[in-house]
Amino acid sequence: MAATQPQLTNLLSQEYQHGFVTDIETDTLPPGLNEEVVRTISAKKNEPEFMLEYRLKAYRHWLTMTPPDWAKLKIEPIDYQAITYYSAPKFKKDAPKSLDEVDPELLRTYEKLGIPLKEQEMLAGIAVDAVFDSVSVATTFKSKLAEKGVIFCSFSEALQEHPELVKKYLGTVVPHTDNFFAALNAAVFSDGSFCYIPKGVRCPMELSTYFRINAKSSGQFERTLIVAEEGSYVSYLEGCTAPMRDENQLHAAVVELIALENAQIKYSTVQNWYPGDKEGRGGIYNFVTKRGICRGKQAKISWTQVETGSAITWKYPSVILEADNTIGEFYSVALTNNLQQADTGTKMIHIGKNTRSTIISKGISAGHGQNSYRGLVKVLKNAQHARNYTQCDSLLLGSRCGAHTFPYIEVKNPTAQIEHEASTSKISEDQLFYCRQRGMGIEDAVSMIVNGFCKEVLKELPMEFAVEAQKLLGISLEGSVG
Amino acid sequence: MIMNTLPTMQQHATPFNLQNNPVPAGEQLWLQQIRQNALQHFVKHGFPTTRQEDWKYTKITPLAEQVYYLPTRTQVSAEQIAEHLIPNLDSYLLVFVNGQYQTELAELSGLPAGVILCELTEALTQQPALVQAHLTKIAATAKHGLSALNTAHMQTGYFLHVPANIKLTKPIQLIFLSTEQELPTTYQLRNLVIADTHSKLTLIENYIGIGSTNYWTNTLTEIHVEDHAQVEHFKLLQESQSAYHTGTLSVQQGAHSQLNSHSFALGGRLIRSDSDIVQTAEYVSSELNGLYLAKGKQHIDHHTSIDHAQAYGSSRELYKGIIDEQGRAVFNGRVLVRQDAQKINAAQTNKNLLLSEQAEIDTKPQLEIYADDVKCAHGATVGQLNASELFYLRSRGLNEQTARSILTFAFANELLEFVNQIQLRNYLRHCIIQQLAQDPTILEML
Amino acid sequence: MLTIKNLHANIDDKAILKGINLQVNPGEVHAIMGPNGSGKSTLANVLVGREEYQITQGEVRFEDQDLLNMAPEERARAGIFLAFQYPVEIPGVSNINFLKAALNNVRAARGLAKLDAIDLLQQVKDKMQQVKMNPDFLYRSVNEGFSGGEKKRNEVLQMLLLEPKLALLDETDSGLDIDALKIVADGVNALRSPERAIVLVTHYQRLLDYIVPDFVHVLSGGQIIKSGDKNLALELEQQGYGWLTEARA
Repeated sequence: MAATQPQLTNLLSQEYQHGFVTDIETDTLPPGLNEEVVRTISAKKNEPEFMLEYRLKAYRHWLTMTPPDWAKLKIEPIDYQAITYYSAPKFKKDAPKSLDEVDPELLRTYEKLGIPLKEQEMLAGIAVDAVFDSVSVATTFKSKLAEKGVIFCSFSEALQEHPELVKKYLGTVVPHTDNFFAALNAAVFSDGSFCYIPKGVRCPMELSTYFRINAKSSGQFERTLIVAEEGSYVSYLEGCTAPMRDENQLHAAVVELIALENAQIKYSTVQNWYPGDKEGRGGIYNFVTKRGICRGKQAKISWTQVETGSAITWKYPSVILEADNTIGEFYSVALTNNLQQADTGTKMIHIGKNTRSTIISKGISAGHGQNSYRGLVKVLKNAQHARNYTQCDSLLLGSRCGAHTFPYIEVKNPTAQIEHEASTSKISEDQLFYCRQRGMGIEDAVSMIVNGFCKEVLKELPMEFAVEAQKLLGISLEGSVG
Repeated sequence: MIMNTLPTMQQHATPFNLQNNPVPAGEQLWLQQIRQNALQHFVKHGFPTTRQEDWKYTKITPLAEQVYYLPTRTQVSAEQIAEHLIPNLDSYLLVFVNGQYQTELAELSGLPAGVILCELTEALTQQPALVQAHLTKIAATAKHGLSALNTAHMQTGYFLHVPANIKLTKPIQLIFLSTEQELPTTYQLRNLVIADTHSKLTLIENYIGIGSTNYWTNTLTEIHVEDHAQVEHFKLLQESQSAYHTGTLSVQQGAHSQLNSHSFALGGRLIRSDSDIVQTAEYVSSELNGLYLAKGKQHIDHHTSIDHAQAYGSSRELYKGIIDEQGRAVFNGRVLVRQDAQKINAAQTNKNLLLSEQAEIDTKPQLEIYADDVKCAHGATVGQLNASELFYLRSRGLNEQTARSILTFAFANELLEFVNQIQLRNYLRHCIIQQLAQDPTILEML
Repeated sequence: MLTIKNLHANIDDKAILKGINLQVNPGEVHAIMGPNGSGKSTLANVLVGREEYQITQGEVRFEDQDLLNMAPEERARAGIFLAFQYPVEIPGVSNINFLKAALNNVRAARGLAKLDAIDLLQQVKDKMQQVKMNPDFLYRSVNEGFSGGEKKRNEVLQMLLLEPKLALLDETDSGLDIDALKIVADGVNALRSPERAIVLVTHYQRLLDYIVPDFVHVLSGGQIIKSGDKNLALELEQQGYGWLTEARA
């Protein structure tokens, strides 16, 4: 491969494309965390009493916890007092009631990111909740969704308009005691999205949240809660970007999904947080707790994720298969280039009878990237006839990266059928040569082969997202092969 | 095997003191120092706990809570030992009974000149330099408390040195027999093997327990496989149903060397078996095979680690488990490919059959890869007997129980296919059938 | 068009080509024959720039360019096409996407605009008919799960689309039944023109019944030991390679 190496190296040095900063006046709390900060956040959002109590409970619990012991990650200790826990664009009035009231600078930001918020310009069929630093700045197609009884709004709004729903479901899948970052999130989360799909309703469009971190040294702690009532269906998309900054920024989100009988939730993420520069300076620490529960029979939850960004990604979108005949799926592509580290995977907890889960994970490591799959398939005693199929494939591009697989399989029921397969290999020289003999440059060839490697996952994404994800894979690889 | 109670002669038994290791009289200073360091390590870190990743699924607190006694001399006759030997196998033989080496039972006739096969303590006096150069050189004291404990307290074990270019045609049979005793006893066994360049040898370690005494065997076997050497290693665990067995195999392999190690874990209340292989040079081949049959309240844990530290190495692992009744099994296989260890080919498979409501398996095959030009794969399955195969056999007139027995044995039988030695294979087949409590007539149908 | 002078090539320090000389002009069809291990496939692979071969001596010029200094994709874009003996499978990459990427790269090198999706599909479907391939193959992964014959037809399909100046076919006839062989031969013959040259690497004379060569060369021990017209191939068919290689020894 001697001749190809320099060219591949060129290929892999393309820059992060969403690294610009929006210049906007903000309402920002000074860095640091104490009970007063928690109270201030709650007060700013005029939250009901139960919410403040929940936050304080979580905060007090968090104080008793220690940060996780990173099995495979190299990370500097985080100074939680140096982080800003609330930053919001300043609005002229209380909060924008419609898009016309939203600061044009913000609208331009989202346009630049390819997410037009004006409904007439939008891709038909996708409703967007745009979260900028700590708050939701706009939610589109709300009224159209309301016709069907679908509630799709910012978390803050949900607390004002539907406190009973929030109270009923918040923290029921990811308790505030769950882990260090989930506890922190429960204490200080500032906004996020709330979706409620009523009984029997098939949500008429894709719902999506677009997260943008803008403010310097601010953390983003958003909370997403999706409830799908009996027999309903929803497809939800999540996208993320952040400006290029030299210091690391913390993103610690919590996502809870609740699917009742015969309901289906499809949750897709294309995560493109700023990954840091080639020397590993800056970048987002993406420590996220995502978990869904299939609470009613025949419910189904699918997670699909394409993770190309962040300096460090630590997330295990999971499904608790509590009711009988429920289905959990996890499709993942994680790409690490330069000095990125990813430790990601899933947990499938089989509790009900005839529960099924599928895990397809594709890891791509380039540069000095370290990519770990960490997964748990657990079959409890009464989970008769549980089935799991897991496939983890890793592709290595370059001799300084790493690919690691840590699947935990725990089975306490003899009727379970569990199958796990994993493979690790480099990109095939023969495939590369074949493409080049047909006239393709190395970049194109690598990008095409990598996309082919990921196809089983990409095909799970909604069309617009799949195209975006394919481009992203190509870009994220630039500079990495060789 | 017929259960047999051998006469025991329990004299003034000495309790085993974890915190203090009486040094045998006249022991060399360097060894005393090694023991002392290991003891300090153990005193500091203690027994492994389930909070440690490598011990997540295996609790050994009963070991820490039980008072064990040091071995006392037991006399057995050649006839008594004969029934524990592998039938018709022409082999060299060393026998240890209740943690004591039985000089008069050794069978060493025909051993090629230059080959040393003896008790470790004898080697310490006869070949001090050779032992000093190799003992504790592979097994890291720091790995876990039990290795440290073994180093601090090692009592006896075998020593084998096969000089360069010598190829042993007969296998070496090593019997570790535990008989019925009044007090719970611990055996801290230490084995050391040096296979010099271009040598070839086969080791069969057979740990047998009769009676129902609670005893604890803690072994550590270090094998130096030098360049171009070939070592075939078998470890049969047929400990008593109340016994604890914790054992580590530590191997270091030189260039172009080959190691095949086979574990058959059949008997024992709790078994923890670690195999740590380090490929220190290029073109090394390592194969690990294992069969574990857990039933009753047995807990059987296999941990393997293959460290591909240099390029052009290969490794293959196949571990299969049959778990019945309230049995519980654990498998953890780690394959590490270090940076610049290119052209590695590693494959690992773990398959488990769960046969009862109470049975439980925790398996974790893991890959850690830091080089890019590699082919590594692992697979793990948990399942039951194949329903259509069962149906097929029954449709041909077999009753369900027989059909199940045949398929269960067939599942285990794959591991016997790696055993070339016919007498050994027949013996293993017999032991497996006995542990599965199956009708030997099924053999005719296989 | 193609001039090979005293070409020597090694693999893993073992000499395979030991001084090849060959001149191929536009419009010509050359057949390179020879016993197993004579270096036929090596020659084809060296011409397209496979990197595991080391060139130790000699020169190859393709239309006034120093071929040996060009990257594989540059050679492809210059108009050299190799139908591989064992086409590789590329899981997850659909045939149509692959063809699109290849064709647009080659077109760009010739100063042609990219084809839009509709034109591309039309072209591809026409050519597929020519090699009697079902359009379903467009949406399957490149060569994945294809039979031997399907892979070879896919190679010919790519060749017809990319319209190379110099087409090299490495044992494209091996493993084909007679119907498939005719399809492949028809494809190659369709490509014959005064501007193009074709080099067939083959072990058997059979293919040459359908693609009649202007020149036949016998390669043995890394050198061309005899050249002739199509009758040489017939002679080889009757007498084998023995008389030639022995005569030399």
